[in-house]
Amino acid sequence: MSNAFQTARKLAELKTRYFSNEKRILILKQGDVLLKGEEHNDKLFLILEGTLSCYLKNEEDKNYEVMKSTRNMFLGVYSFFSYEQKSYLTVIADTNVRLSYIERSDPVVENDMFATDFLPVIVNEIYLRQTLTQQMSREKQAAIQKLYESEKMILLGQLAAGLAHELNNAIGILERNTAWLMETISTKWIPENVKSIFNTTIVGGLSFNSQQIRERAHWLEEKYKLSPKLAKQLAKTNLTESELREVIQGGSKSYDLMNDTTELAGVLHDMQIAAQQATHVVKSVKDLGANRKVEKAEVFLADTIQRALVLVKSFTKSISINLEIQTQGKLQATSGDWVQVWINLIKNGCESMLQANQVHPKINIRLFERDNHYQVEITDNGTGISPEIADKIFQPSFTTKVSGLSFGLGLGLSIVKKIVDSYNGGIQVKSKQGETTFIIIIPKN
Amino acid sequence: MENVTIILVEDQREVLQAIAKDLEKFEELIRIEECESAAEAETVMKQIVDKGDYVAVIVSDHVMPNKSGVDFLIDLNNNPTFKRTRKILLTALATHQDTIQAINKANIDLYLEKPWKKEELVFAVSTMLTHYILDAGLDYTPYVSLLNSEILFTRLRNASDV
Repeated sequence: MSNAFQTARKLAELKTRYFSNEKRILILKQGDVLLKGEEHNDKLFLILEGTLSCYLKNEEDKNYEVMKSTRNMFLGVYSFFSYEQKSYLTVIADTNVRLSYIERSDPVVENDMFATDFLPVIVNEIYLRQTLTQQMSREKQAAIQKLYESEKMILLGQLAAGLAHELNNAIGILERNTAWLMETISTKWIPENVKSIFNTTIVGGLSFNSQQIRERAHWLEEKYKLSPKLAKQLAKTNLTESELREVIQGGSKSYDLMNDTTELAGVLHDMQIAAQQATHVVKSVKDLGANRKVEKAEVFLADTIQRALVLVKSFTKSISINLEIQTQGKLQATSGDWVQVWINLIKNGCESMLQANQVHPKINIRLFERDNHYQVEITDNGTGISPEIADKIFQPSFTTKVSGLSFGLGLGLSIVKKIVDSYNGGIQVKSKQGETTFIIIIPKN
Repeated sequence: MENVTIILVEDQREVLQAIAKDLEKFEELIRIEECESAAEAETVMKQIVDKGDYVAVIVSDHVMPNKSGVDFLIDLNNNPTFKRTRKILLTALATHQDTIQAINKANIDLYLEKPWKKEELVFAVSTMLTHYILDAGLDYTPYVSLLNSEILFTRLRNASDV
């Protein structure tokens, strides 16, 4: 016969023999104190109903919980059976509680059978308590680990924010001075006859791609017998065919000026684009590392997706990303929260596809609106998530990554879930071989 | 005189322009073809070879859509037509694994990191060009102003010793 069954039967016997005296019943309300640490106790309690928490004092004289006791567990064990007759725990009712008890002075305790009756049950009680404290210590260990991880992330966030601040100053100078150079060169140094080509190149950059430039250069080379170098230089300008003809007919002076003008404008344009790109990246990092307590503001969901895409650009370059924005919906939110959600989901998809050596990796991102909520669907064509792990993926520290260096911006999907939950939203995953979709539902405010 | 070409492959147009600008001086004597993808480079190179011209040096980025620089150079390395072509990988972001592949399978000659310095890039291209011209048995005299004189001298001396 099983140990559990034996113990239960023994306990039932004890209940009828020792704990069925109607006068020996104690009723506690939630918050009432049953036992106080270091105070006298000569009763042994059996919990008939309810839950109580047991506390010890730490060095700073503060109570901390060591275990919970529920129905069919004993309290006052140590003080009742020891010489001291003092409770080492403080015991407080968590709920309304009904207890039955015996006192040391009760005649039953004098009974010859008392020790034989109680021994197995009390040993079981001690064993149970030990198991409970072990479990608690395990949970505490896990909590400390989690705290450690999240502190690491906070530190990383602060470092990123500091870096962003420093970079902002440097980029700010570059961006401002580029704008100043553009303005000054345009007004003071560029001759009137090429001013319009200078200004359009500054705004639009060089508008031909390398293929088109090659074709134009080839055409110029053949038609006007220009050197390859000169032909290519002229081909890169934004001039039309008739404008080019005019320049070439004007002779070498004319195209030297034209080349200098377009080259200068092209370089200035590229500098401005680079500075803007850098500003954009820095801003996104700053948002991400921003204090989570910042006040919520109106945020365009579509913006948060765009910003996330900027930040993940370095590892999505070889992946074709298709973005479908069907709503310009706004939300009361901290934009950094959502940027982080999208980064984690996109990164996740990328990693799964790269791990699967997917030849044509694709990510589809769709944002649309329903009556009461916004919905974002992020689909990749990676390996998919097997049903065995589908319910585990939102747990912290769950990973399938086999090897390789990965710089996480969060704890992955557990962070995603935490953030989505904090907006009363929902997340679910649908997966089959070659197609995994994360669906995020965000209620409208 | 035969046409000798340098191929640049870089998907970001602004960066491609910047590389081309640094290598401008080579255009006095040889051609530079700028390409925004590996596929475009492959087409251009085929045209060059069809005309009987030479692809001397390739400078390629690594992280590009569709086909990565390393994959592009691996394919090239397996193509006997481009066996002698010198390959330079110019990249900001390559994993350990990519780098191993580039060296072992693509047989790259040089690995440059972004952001690059003009002198460093010019020196690298000049050195690679020197090797190619001698390997291909072309007359080096017209190109002397672009070549790495030290390498040229050493190789010519060694050749005459034999």
